[in-house]
Amino acid sequence: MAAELEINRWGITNWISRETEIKPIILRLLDEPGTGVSAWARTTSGLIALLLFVQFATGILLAFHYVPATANAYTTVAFIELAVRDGAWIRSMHYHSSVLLPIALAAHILQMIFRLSFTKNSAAWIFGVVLLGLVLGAAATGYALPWDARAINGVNIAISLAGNTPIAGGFLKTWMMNGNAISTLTLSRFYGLHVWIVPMLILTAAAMRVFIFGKRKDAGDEPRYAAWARSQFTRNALVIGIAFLAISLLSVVYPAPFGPQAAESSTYLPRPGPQFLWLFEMQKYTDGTLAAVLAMGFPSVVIGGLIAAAFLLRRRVDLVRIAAIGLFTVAFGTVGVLTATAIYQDHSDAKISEQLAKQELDESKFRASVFEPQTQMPPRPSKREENDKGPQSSDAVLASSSSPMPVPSAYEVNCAKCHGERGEGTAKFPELVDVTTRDEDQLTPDMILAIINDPKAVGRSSKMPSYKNKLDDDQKQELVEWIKSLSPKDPNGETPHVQTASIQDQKQ
Amino acid sequence: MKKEENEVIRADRRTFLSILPIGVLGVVGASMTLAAKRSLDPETTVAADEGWKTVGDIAEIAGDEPIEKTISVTCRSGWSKTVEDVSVYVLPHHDNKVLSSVCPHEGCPIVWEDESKKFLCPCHDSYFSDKGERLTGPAKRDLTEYETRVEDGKLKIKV
Repeated sequence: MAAELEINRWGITNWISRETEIKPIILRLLDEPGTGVSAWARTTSGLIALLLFVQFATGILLAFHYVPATANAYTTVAFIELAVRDGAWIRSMHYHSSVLLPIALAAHILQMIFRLSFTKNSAAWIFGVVLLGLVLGAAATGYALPWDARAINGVNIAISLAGNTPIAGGFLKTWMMNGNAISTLTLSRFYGLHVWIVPMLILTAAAMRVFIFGKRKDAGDEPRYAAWARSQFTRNALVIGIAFLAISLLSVVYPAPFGPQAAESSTYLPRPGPQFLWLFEMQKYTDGTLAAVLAMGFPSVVIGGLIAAAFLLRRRVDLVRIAAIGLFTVAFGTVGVLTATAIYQDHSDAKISEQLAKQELDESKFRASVFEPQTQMPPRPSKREENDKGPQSSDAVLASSSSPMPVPSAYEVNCAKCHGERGEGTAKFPELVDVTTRDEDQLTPDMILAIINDPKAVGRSSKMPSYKNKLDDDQKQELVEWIKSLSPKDPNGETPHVQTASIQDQKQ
Repeated sequence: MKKEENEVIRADRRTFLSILPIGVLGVVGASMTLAAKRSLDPETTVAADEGWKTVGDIAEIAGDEPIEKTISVTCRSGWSKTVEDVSVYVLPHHDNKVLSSVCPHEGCPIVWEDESKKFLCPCHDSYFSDKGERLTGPAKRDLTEYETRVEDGKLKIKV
């Protein structure tokens, strides 16, 4: 008892160790006593704890600024990068820790193989291996969130791999897309998985490791144990301090990658984070079902095999150790070779390396720029308020509060890319929401039609192409009516619903 | 004596070993807390565009009752820019004075009551005269008045 008190002299810590179960848990976490290289090797647990802490802390901070919808995601990430105090550093910490986690876990698993942890402390072993799977899942889902050119390509690839999975492919694909096409609902899926499901699984695994499977070793020798625990705690803390300093500096020097907005660039070469270069390289040689089976089967077999080591041949531990080392070597060797090949190929191809250098330059230009806020749709009266104003046609009641008229298909195909899905505009192209009322434009329907036909002829943007021959008259008229309906207050005093009706009349 | 000195050294080492890790973890925690504080400090770029806004044609503003008008104000808050409608009351019978529709009590939008010829705040029953003077209720001030001017036959207010 004297030894236990020795650790915690201070009032508050005394109270904590007396009133809570914290202390036995901490002692349980610290495994059996050891010295020298073995004790330092075991500080990989401290490193992993640090990286997980950084992921949760920075992830929560990012969530304060991020909006998971395709219309806002890119802008809010740009806002984090350019305008939020320390935002670029926080996002960079999140990114670099996600890259380092699998590496730290590989080192952790390797040192556990040598200590025969899969027999002596199988809970710690299984936890380490499962965590490797979970952090890869976290990185894969987090990849989509900035909704830049990298993210959208990544989502395309992930959906395609899901779709090519044998048997469950169809279901997986529709479930991941949350529909029959990639949309803002797809981003919601990735967001929910990334910020709720995967972190919850990580916390659950950690809790099970600590509370359910943990076993206290060598409980007899309390004083020695306590002294050892203290010095192992010190070792872990030192490693944590050095690693944190290193990641912080890394994050200052190398910001997290952020590609261009998808609509702007067709020449952009998307490259994944270093932890997925093996997968990227693998996709160069495979197609269809084989690609999907390899992409998901390879990590599954490795993780499954390593977990199985905890349950195999308990009497022939050395044999299992050799098998585990073999599996580890093959798996991480393959990853290493594929990663090196991917890097080598990018470097040796002059065209690719030139484009990648250009992308880096574009990114540093972006980082030097001033943040430009995104123009949002003005708030609309809610459905209830509209109904209060008197009886209206059933069409009006059905129309959603934010869109008086359905978006014409001609708009979605031809215009949405630059002017936004609902005329809200994009970073470089103007919004259409109030062109009929805003002071600098005050466009009449005829002027809108003239711009659609030939923007240059009426002194408009040189970037917008002419749609004179690309659309027929009905389509153009539909576009004009729709753009008119976007304005919060129509100068003619017509309500958008009347226009909806008139369009339908024209069609009949 | 020697034994006692050794005891002191061991005690020092022990204290060092308990303070060092806590110190290191404290620095890590403090760094993240500082980043959290800085990134979550309230956004100071929330701003509406300032300047003179047109309320309406001076010729159309007439009568002996307040007229509700809306002006569009561009509001910038962080990453988003919205055009918001702001409601004001023009008093043609009081030198075209323009009143804010925000109740000085707790910020609810006031309404004009036709029968009583008074402004009413529906939240806590503050009443204001047709000039915007406080009559009854919890509000302690009169309705806020805008600075106005007339340019090219248009009534403008400064927001």
